Amino acid sequence: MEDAAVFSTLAQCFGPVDEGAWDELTEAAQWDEFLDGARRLLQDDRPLGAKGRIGWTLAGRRPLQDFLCERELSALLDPPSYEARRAFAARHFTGGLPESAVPVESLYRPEVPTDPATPRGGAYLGEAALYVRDVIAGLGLEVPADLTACPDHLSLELDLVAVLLRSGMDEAARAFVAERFGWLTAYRTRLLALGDEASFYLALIDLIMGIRAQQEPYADYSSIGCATDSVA
Amino acid sequence: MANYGMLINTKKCIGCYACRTACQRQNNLLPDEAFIRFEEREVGTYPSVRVEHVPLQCMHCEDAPCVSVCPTGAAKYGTDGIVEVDQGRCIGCLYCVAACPYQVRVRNSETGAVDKCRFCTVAAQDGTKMCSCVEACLTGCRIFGDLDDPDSEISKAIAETGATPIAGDLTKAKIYYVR
Amino acid sequence: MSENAITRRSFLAGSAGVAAVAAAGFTGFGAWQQAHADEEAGTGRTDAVHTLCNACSSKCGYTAYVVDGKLTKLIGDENNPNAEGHLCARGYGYSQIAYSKDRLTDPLKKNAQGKFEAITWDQAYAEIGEKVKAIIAENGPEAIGLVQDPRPSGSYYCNRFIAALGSPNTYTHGAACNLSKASGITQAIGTGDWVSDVANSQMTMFIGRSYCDGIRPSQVAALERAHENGAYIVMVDPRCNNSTVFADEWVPITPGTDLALVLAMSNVLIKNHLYDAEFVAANSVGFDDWAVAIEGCTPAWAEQLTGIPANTIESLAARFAEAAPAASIEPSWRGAYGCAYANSGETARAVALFNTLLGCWNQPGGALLTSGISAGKLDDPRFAAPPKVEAKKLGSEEYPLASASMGSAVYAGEMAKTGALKGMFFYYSNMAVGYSNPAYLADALSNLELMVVCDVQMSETAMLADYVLPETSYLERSELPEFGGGRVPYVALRSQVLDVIHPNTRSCDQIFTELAEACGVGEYFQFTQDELAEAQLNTVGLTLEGLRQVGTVQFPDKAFVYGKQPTFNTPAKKVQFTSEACAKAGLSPCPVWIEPQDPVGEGEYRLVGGKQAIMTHTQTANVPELMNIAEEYGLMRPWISVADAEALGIKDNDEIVVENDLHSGTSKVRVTERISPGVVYLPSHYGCTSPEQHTAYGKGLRIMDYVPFHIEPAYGSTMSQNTTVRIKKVGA
Repeated sequence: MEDAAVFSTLAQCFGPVDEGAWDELTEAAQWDEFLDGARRLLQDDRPLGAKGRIGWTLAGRRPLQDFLCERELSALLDPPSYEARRAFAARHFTGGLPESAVPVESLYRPEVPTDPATPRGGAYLGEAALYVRDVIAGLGLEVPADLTACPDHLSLELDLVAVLLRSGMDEAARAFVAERFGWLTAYRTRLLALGDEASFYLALIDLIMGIRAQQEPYADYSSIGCATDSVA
Repeated sequence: MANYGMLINTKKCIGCYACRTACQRQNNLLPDEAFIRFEEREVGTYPSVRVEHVPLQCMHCEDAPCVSVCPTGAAKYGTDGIVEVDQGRCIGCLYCVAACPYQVRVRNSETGAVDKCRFCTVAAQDGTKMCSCVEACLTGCRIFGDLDDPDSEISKAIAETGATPIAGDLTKAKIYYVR
Repeated sequence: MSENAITRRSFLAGSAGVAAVAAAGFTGFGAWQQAHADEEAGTGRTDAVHTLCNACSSKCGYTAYVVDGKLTKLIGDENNPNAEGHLCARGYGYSQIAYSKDRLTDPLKKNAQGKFEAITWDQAYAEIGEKVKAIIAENGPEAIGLVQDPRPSGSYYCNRFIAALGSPNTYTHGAACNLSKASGITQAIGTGDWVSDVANSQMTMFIGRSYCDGIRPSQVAALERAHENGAYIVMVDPRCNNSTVFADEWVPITPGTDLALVLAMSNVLIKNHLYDAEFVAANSVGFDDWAVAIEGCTPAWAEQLTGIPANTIESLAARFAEAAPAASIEPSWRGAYGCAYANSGETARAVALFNTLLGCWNQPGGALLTSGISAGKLDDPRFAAPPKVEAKKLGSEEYPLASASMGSAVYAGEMAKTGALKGMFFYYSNMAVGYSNPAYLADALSNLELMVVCDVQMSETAMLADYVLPETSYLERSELPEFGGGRVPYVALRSQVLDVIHPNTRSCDQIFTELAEACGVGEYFQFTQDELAEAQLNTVGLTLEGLRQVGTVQFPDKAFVYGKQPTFNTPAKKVQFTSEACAKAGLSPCPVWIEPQDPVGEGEYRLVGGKQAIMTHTQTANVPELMNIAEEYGLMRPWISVADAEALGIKDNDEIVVENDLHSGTSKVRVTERISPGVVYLPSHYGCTSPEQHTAYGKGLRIMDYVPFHIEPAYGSTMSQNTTVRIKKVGA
């Protein structure tokens, strides 16, 4: 699977999709392709978006269990049914509940960075949201109506990477990945607190964080005006 | 060139925190980042007691300890007598926080840089006629203006009330208190 | 499915499509931050909207500045009579609730495991509607009730919804606020309030009320002007509150004994013929009865109860007589007798009668009976009221003096427990922890077959609900016009400042219109809020668009005029020193001394509450800006006197235990000269037990935990301070 499609798939895992779309996304062959694509990205020595070496195969490369713990791996290999996903979203991807874990960057922007386990001070439409909103608008795209409060929703940030890759803007995509996904450390802690039922989403977060780490050697985005240290 | 300063009449201060929250809001500060802090003093004993609230913020000293100790020149004297912080140059060493006798310099918990009252009038835009704290004060405790202009409201008020800086001439502070 | 199919499902649609976007369009974060900083410095698109604050019930008018969709500055409107150009700390801080991470974003239903799950609006309405219909079919519409903290649209829609269902049971938060004050005053003068002309007075006494702690900017300004004008300002309060900055005399008083003070001052005026006999003779009934009834209420008698020296009481009364008619006792609000004790309603009644002795009604510097403005009759049949409900509001017989427009919400809680109420709605009300004992109310409300709560965050009341309906914050919605009274009547408007942040939240008017439809009474809601607002405004010569442009319109031609003959809308059409209604309700015909509470035992302290300038009820504690102040300055601490602290070996900031038979909790303490010995003050805003409120949760003690569930006879209030506590140092 192409890098762009990997990110599209990740985006849809966190975003609002209907039953038909979910079933297609997690259909066995399709899901295997996604896992293969992700597995490549976790270990390829190449910048995001660049084509892999010709004749490159997965045989002999490191398997997914090198990157994920047992619990996460089994959850990832057996994606939830639409009903299970809906039930999870109804309790965790909604705001204001003790078990809310809405994947929105502004909410995980720690006011006290040394203590990511108990994020304080986060609020909707923080600086991250205004930035992503402007990026989306700058590209001639629109934030969907049900996510207006959170342009920095994980699904949109992932989707944006896919769009950039597909548009040949590889450098921008890499910059975006490096700059934006730092908050997932704090978000991961939040998911961990939810116990086993969050394993599938934890696994996806770990994939994204792993891909981001793998991209570190290719980080020089000064030409497109990116922050040199990813304070955000 | 003006020489800006402020007068705060603590006899009229009711300790309501409106100046602090207005400053945070109008200057877009973080929830835990406040440029104004308060001292409360009880004078006398029950039942003959009264309360004094003293709001404190950057005094824009002419002899500013924060400027002296800053290793990078981030804390500096700007124009019109306003002490400034160049956020880009601040390395967050907190020397200035330790040096300020008024304890009114605060660390931005997101950037790690130090910030404080900017006498925001000077850069004010839309709708703000005066420093946010001056505008917000419910009892008109505060007067802002040019200390070098003998005809300014603040110069006249200082002459009239005998207001003085909170710590005398310790740092040549430019906030004058009526107490 | 092909990869193309996946990518076609991009969430980001746009003119460029998903296949490709312009390479030039991307900006890195660093460059964006720089550009954004420039924008904030003035180059961004700025909108200015006149609207109304919602941080308390004063609803001050202000201008909200919005830069590129984000709220930036708030500046009080000069032409709004509550704001007079200013906002208080709450106004600035509470605005951030719009962006709070604890906002409710979807309708919620409690599942079988007792946990909330997001559901669709359609499902919520369908299930609530079905349940309401079933309750009505089985028990009649009287089994449905609603409690609200009144807001312009909330009041209209809530009341209309419940009336449309055929139930009389709508309640405000009054039973835990100003019910006794308004109801007691009404028994005396036929209306529930007056405006003390503080700024122009020669003397004004405040009893348990502090303009500088429960802030309305225009009142703070009036108090300051009074001080500058040389008025003699007296603060009667167990605490040396922040308004004492502008006071000439602080009179500490034993909590709950304000009635004794007022009766004794009245006694002095009558005994010494210092009252306005001419005004009393011409404008009142029952004076002689009262004079006889309070003959024994001498300053010496009152000293024993109030702790105020008899000669202080004598001189206060004499000073009042000298200052009259440019003098009054301010009517207060919640303070000492809004809902606090068994004698609160009667205290309010006595205060109104005392002012009558001063002959100060409508006099410069006295007590002004101002009027308001209201919308005229609306001709459009869509706005016609639902059929009149014949049944009596639950509690109206048991607590006959309770103002009909408020009712006793506390009694409604008791009716949930008995099963008389089976379905209850709560709009913007945190009744479960704010109105009476939380343990009692949680138990009572758990008996309901249907409990629906409409709010912006997970209040403790919402935690108990079967369904929670998420409202847009006050910055994201327009409301019906606010028709206000006072020296100059006015109309003000809450306009929408921000685009709706969470698309699946809805405004009050929409929610109740749709609920009505689901409950089978949609016929009474065949109009939009804007249509209704326009019609209401047209009756006073305004248009919605016109009002929106300016925020507030005053009606100077309807302004109060000094010296106007006061009208008293009592049964006798005069001031009533004696009231048949009070007698029928089991009280004395004229107000006499009533013990406020159970005797205070050995080692017990009277507990008092009270507002702080940065908080309102329990609604603002979850705002980080405001809670940070409370934490930084130890505002959550209970206060005890230096004398008591010394006796108990307690020092400032020691951790102490505050306990009684209902509750025990620990907190750091403030030891202060600013409170009477024998009294513990607990601010009324803290001790949140909703873990969903990340900022407020678990901080401070909650005063209501120490208050038993009980109801003030005849008036129906919660008796919020009728309790005692014991204190000791932790480990002692």
